[in-house]
Amino acid sequence: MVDLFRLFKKAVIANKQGLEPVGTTKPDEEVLENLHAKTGLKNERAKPEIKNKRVQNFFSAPREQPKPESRQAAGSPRRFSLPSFNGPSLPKIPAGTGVYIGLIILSIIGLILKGYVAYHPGGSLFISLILGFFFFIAIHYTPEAKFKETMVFLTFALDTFTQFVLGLFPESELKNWLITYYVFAWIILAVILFLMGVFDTMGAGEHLGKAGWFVTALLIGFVLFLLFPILVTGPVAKQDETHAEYYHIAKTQIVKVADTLEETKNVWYDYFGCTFDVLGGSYKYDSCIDDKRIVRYCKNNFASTTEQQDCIRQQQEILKSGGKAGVAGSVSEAIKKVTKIELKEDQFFPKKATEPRTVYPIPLKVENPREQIFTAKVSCEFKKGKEVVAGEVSIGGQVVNEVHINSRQQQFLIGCQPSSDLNGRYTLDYSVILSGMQTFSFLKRAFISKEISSELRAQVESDNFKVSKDKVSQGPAEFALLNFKFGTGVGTEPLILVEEPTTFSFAVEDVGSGAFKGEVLKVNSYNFHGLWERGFSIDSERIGDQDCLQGGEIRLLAAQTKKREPSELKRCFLTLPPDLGQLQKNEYKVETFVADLNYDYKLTKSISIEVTPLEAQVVCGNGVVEAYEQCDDGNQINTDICTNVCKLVQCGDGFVNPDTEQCDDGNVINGDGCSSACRLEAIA
Amino acid sequence: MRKIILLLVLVSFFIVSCGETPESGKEINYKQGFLDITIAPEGNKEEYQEQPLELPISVHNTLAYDIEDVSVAIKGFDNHFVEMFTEQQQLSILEGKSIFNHEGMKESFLFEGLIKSLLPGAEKEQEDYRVHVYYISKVEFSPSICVTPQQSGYVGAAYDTYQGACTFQKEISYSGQGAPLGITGLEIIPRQGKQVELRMKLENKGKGKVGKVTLVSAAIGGKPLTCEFRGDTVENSFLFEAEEKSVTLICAGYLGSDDAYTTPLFVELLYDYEINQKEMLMILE
Repeated sequence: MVDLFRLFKKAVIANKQGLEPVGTTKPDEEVLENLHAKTGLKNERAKPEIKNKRVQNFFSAPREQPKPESRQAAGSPRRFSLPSFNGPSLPKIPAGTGVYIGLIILSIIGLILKGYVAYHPGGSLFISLILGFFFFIAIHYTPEAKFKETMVFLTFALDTFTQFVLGLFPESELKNWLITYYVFAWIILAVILFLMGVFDTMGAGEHLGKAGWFVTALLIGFVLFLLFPILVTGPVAKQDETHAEYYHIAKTQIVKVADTLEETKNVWYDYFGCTFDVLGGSYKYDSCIDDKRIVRYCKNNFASTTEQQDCIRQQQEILKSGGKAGVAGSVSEAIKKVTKIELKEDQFFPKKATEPRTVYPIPLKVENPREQIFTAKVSCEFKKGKEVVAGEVSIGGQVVNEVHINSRQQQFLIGCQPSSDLNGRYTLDYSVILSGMQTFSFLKRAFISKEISSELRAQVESDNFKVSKDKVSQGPAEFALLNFKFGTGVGTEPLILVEEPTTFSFAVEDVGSGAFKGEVLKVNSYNFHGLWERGFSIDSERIGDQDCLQGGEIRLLAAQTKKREPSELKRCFLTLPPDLGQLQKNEYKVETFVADLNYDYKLTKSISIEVTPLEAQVVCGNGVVEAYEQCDDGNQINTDICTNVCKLVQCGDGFVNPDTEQCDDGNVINGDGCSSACRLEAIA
Repeated sequence: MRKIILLLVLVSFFIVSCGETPESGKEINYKQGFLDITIAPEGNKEEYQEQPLELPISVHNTLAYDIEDVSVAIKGFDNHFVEMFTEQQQLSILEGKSIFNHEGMKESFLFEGLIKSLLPGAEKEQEDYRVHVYYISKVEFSPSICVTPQQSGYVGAAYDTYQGACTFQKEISYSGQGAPLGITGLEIIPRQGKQVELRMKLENKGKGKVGKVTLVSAAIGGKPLTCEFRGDTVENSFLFEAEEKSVTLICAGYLGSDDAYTTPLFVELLYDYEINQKEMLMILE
């Protein structure tokens, strides 16, 4: 940027020195006249026969030109006040070229920035304003400035108009066209100006005139328009690395593929490339952009053509489903035996306590009709603002924090005792980590041959998938659901054409609610035995997770198990069993697949409690003898029988009780003038 | 004498009364109306899980024709809950109603399978399935019609005209021929040169689907007719598409007289038919 500025400055200075004579504005002409008057040089424009002199061209910065001082001396109005250049003649470097190259770079940066704001009209217009400003300043001091300025303004006007249309009418039919053209208007402008400078140098500018320049600009623009996609293929490799990195991150962190796509931004030259496709027919600009991104992503992450094609297909499927790679599921009402674990306080729960270390008991009720075997590990803590007091857990009166559950119905009394004294209002948080919870899910699908009548298709669907719930995987209404699906979308298409291969994916959804609300911590194991027992197998030749039918631990983030929108955890291509893959015309088969899930769930329960220690409740001086008080006479006299600290008066307390004491020096030492019996005595 | 006559009358009445009923002596024409075969599962509607399944399906041919190449299949069971050992059974012929069998034949097909376990924690599962019955049968259309080659004999726009021995009717409706597929309309169009064109509307009014209809024979007054189905036809056959319920058969023939006369028309069609009937089985815990 510093270099750019240096070049820019140098160019302006050079232009000031060398090009003012051919300026087109009136003030420039006045300056020239003054210069002629003072230096004796003649107006070069008036003599076309010497047009080839270097002084006329834009690139020849070091010229024999009047000194800036002389121009200043003439008192001509200046529109730009950079420091004057007084040194020796400039070296013969194409300073103007630097400016234009700078403009080209600037417009490319602008274009990339526009890509980053994703054509948000406001952001994009701001970038355009900055571009326009730089272009204007750079162009303003060049020969034929007006014509070039006009081009800058035209480009800016096109840009502004586009932003306006896109902002007001985002769904405009013009959108594709507008984005196509305006994104590279600036860069085309920069290149045209650059080439104009070259022509100027060669002296062509004198022959062409404005109309000629205009036609030339159009021609240059058109040629660039055609050549651009070819020219920009170079930087592909660099982008590829970025995309591969995205893919790597996505895989290792088990984020959904849609996120990967979202992060994998389009590169700026995609916008150019798509222009041709859009012009070619009914191809939508947005679709073209998406397709290019997907193709690039897949080509860079998979070596073989087959893998690439699979990847493209998968990504397009995700795109088709609105970018959501989730898997739908639902709780089943048919499953009556449902595991319920409830942590709910009863009437004996001490919401208000006076003991600072009261034990807070809460029953843990377990209904386990399917006789699962799992463990519940309990912890608790007391929170008040930033203060956290750990709780000591007891179960059934014993200081343990873990219990094994294996029978149909069990109830435990969980006790939580603060590890330090409490005073005030607290939130008592119980958490029960249920380890080794088991659940299952089932998914019904009808496999139909490719040649099936629409009537039969409708019949199969109406017979087997009567309500929308039937179309997604279902499981018992417990804590976690194992959702799985075949094919595209979120998994609501119940009929599967027996085309090879079919995609398969699964997700885990947190369906805990109300008293059972919590968080799915991790998957311990999953087993789609219904699929592999039936003859489905992972197509290892194709991309995908090779452990998508059976596997072990998967640590989960809360966002991945979000209710109604759980993210895909694994995805792969499955090969159908032969009998399904070879269904004949109008043949179909209905199958329900069952899968098992073993997971850990964290159940939480928060209860507000209030602890008011007894000491805090005693008020000395209220006339009522309360706990820890020896007396309370309701006055503030220390010399009566009851002191102001509600203690009965006694010798040595420092207060003289006239009825019983002659003195009280606050101690019980004899020989100091007041004896230990509070009698006056001679000082020893 | 009066007593004798009275006695004779009584005896005659007695004899007449004790004789064959008019119905039994008369040949009943079953070949009318639209009829369908009857399919009925005869087993239990509810079965317990993890038990063998016996699913008897009876097929009763109440048509006026025999049905041949009968195939009965059970389809649509969810393989996770019900596994069928036999999914399809065949029968070469199942006779229809005739003077020898007024009820038509009934055959029971036993399908065997296994009811598997319910889902863990589920108390029941409703399984919908389909009984598919496929057969080939025929339908005969044999009315006596009044034909005339005289186009000039029409009176105004009305086509009814008396020309000789019968009343010519251009369009005649029929109520079926004892099968699900039948001719419901006949249009008689006299043509030049003692020719007549007959347009017969063939309709499926049964609960199943017609596959291919083939014209076996067509004749008027014993003389063969040249026929073709309107639409896509292959060698006197017509293939019904999914939602298609009717097709027109167009025949042309020569008449034997210049005047209107009554003559027998005979059309025999062969068709294949498929009924799929939804049934339900409740699996209990």
